[in-house]
Amino acid sequence: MRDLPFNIVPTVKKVVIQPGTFCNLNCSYCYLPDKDRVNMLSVELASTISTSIESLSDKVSVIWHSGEPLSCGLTHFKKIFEPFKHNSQITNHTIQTNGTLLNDEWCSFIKAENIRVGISLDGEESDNAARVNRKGKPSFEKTLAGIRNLNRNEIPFYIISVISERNINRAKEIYDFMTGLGAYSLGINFEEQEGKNILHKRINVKDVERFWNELFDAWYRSPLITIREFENCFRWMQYSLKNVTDLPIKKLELIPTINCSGDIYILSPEFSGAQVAQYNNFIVGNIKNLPLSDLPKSCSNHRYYQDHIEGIRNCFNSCKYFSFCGGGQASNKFFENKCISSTETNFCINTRKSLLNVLINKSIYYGQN
Amino acid sequence: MDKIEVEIQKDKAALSSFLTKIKKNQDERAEDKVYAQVKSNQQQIDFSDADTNYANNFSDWTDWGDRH
Repeated sequence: MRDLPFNIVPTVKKVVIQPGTFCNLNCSYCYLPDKDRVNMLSVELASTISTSIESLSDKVSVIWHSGEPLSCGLTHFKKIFEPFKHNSQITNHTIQTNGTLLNDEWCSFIKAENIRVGISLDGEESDNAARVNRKGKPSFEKTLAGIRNLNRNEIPFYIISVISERNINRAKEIYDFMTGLGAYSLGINFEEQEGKNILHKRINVKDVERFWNELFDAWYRSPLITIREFENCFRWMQYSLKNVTDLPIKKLELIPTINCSGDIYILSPEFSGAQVAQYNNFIVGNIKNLPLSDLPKSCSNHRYYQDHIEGIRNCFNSCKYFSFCGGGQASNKFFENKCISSTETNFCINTRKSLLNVLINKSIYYGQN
Repeated sequence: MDKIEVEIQKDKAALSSFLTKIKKNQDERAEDKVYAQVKSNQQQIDFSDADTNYANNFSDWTDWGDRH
């Protein structure tokens, strides 16, 4: 087996912070194991995290997620956000939310602090059957109300949609609906087997290809909003067509995720809360005694990081899509294949191979006509 | 087995033409009122950093932050 022709340098560019474990929804595909518990990040711990971010050599973006961030209430969120407000190492904040609790008070805060907003929504009402509240009632109307509040307060937002068997035949309808909502970007996540979500049924690859085809056609006819996956493909094509020689160093984003107890997870936030003895439950330390600036050096001491590097090497040696993908996601490999050093996952098939095949064919066709 | 980046070189002209088309399409639609409103909230597709992103950086691909 060939060695990698480049050195992998672990970096920290994004930090995921869990403001609280609880989520007010009970979506059937959720991977979070602790969403029923009510634990919240303390102001003291928030200060420790912010101080730790200040010690980083590079600037970072902060994503508030893992549990519904708005579930902790605006009063508490303002308190834990305060230590980060003047942190010069943070370029921006993003809240990833289900949108159901977005009222005018939240919008005022979000606008004043210039926080980016990502909404989780799977399409029209029928596409959102998995997204229900604690009583099993649809959350769709409340999310729409939250989006109306964002629009009324002129707050830009993007949407991330989960595609599963229930809505995979509705690419055009989903695209049209999302453009009408006023989102500036749409990201597509196919339902995955991760964490608590063990009921996943593999989606037929032909259906996936048809979905990308139809989404592309809808977007190409009326490219009102950015499709995250398409934009990334176009960037890769642009790079690859230039025949640029790879540099000897590639950076690997560690994406430290800090839960509300201060425990730190790396590589995949989906590892947060997973109980796996062989990897010490994926915990690499606690923010109280492990500065984030130490992570790029200390990560290689952890077995699951070592296994992920081995997985990247295996992908490099076996997959022709490596330059587009970079070696896949550690959490997908673990939860699907039970082995982080493994290679192909559903994520690779759906969101790398199928996507790129469809877009290359479409691009060639439209480039010739 | 050719790597995918080698395969697409066979259709370099068509792919380059397509990428130019979508960029032009964006510029033309800037006159469209609805489009302009949406566009004011987002960045144009910008290829200027594509070299850097793909030459030395896994993170735009393997990271989770843009995935959820």
